[in-house]
Amino acid sequence: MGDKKTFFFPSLLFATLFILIVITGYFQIRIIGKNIEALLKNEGEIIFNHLKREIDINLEYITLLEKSPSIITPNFLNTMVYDDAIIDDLYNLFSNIEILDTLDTKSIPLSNLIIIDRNNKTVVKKGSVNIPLSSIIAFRSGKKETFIRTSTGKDKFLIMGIKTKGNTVFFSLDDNELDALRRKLTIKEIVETEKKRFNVAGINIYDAKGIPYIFSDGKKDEAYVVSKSLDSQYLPKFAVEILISKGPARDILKRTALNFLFILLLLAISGALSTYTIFLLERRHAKKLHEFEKELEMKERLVSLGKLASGMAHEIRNPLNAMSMSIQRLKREFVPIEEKKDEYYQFIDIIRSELTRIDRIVEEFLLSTKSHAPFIKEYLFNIIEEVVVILREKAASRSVDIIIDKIARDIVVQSQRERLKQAFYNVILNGIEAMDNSGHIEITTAVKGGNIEIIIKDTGKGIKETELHRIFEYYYTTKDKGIGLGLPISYMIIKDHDGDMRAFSEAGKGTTFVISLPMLQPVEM
Amino acid sequence: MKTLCVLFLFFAFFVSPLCAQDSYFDFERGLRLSDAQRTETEYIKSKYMDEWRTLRREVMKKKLELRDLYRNPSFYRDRIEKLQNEILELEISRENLYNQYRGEISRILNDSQRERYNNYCGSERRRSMRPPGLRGYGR
Repeated sequence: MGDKKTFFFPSLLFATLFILIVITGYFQIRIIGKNIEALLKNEGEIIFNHLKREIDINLEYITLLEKSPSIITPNFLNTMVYDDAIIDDLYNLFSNIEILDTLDTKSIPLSNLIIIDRNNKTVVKKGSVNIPLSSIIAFRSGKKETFIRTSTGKDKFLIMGIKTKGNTVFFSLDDNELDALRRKLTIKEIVETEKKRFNVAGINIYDAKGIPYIFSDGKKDEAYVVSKSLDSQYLPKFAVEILISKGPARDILKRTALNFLFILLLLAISGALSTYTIFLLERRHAKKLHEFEKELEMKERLVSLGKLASGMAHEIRNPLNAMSMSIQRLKREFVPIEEKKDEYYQFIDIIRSELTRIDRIVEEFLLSTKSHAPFIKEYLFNIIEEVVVILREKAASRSVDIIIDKIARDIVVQSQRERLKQAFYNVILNGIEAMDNSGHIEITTAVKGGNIEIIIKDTGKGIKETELHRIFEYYYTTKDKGIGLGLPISYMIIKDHDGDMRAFSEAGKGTTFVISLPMLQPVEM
Repeated sequence: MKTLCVLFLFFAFFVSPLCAQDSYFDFERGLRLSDAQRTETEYIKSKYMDEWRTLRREVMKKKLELRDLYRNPSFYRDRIEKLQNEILELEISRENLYNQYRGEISRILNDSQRERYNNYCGSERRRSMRPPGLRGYGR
């Protein structure tokens, strides 16, 4: 449950923030989109004004040219060239007609048109065209493929013949038609030029009846549309549509959205990592707290036990001494008759052995409680060596070798000498007793930060994982004759030295005790 | 976004001044031609106008002829080249004719009128009205 809470609350907080950021980002992107649309529509307005002025000025030249301006400027001469373009357009129109049967004559902007097929059959006839005889003769003889006649007098007209793909096309244009075509061509040219110049998707112009006059291929659903009345004196009631491509706006929005998504992704990853880190730290903290509580509990128990033991030890030792002396007297002075003598000595030895055992227990209790003994500077090696000397004989009896070659000799620690010896004694003895027959105990040291680690590794039968966490508990033992005091007392002594003691073991592979103590001076190996 | 802002500033500050040219009507009214000057300009104009139109018709005809020849360009290569040169010469003639016209008109205008005329021609050049397939005059 604790784990769930540790994970749930940071996750909830992060998720809430994340959702808020997503919502804010979404609306921000929408606002950007609206702003871009407004910006592009403003551009459309500016283009419209420019287009209107271009149309007005150009149509003014065409209109004034017919009304005879006082002074001819370069643009008047340019307007004269429009007739070239009209002829080019019409020539291209008829050159591209392949099948006459499918020809839509209504779409051809001419009122006087004749088309004769290769069999001299008139297939299209609109209005009337006065074709000069000389031109017909030239066409029939095959000398000419095209002819053109324009007026020289006041009645302006244009007659033209084209021989294309076996068909012969004749058409004529009067002054009004020419003027209308010039205007349309002028506007078409302006629209094309402005479309390219301002890079817009399309410009459509509708006449007074709403019929498309100039129509570009820009798709309306792909563009922002600025629609306005042209309000021109030369094109009354005409309307203009300017299509501004949504492409750039879409690109910007796409880039913004991608950037935002990238930021969200980073945020999500960092958030998830942070939450996980918080979870891990919290779990580690809880674990440490639990360990600390456990340690405190054990320490409290040890302290109270120590106090109790100290009191009891004094109380027990006195009767023990009396009992011991009485036993000695019994053994010496009250020997029974011969047939009961052996049994008598056997009972006396049992009593003495048990009294010795009680005395040892009391001694250990007393030693464990002497936490107020003074601390003195001591070479660590000397302490361990003394312990090993005491235990070497016991180890040898079990064919256990104790190796101390790799212990640093110049490490100095603050110690309560006897108590620290007792701590090492218990641990090494525990190792010796863990080995039934043969093996070795290796004692090494390693510097870690400001501490020295004393590693005591045996090759005994090891401790099961289920039992490992209980070995520092009072009265917990796995040995037949153990009393469960050695390791808890060692643990308490090491803790009194501001150190730490950990055990690592694997059943069948031996046990390693790591005792960590504060070091007084750096080591030189 | 930056591109759009730059475009907007371009439209707002650059395009609008482009449109600031006077219309021809304003220009002509601003010249304040006297009756005598008006008579003279009319005379000069009519003299040149017919020539321009004739040249225009010639160009038109030759261009159509050129289109015929382009149906078999390898066969008519020499004629195509000749026609192209002729069209070019006609265009140059028209341009020279316009310069000649401009000179004659300038002579009948006073200094301020001449300056206005030159400025207007310059502004037309900057505005660059370009009909299809163009060849500009007086540029």
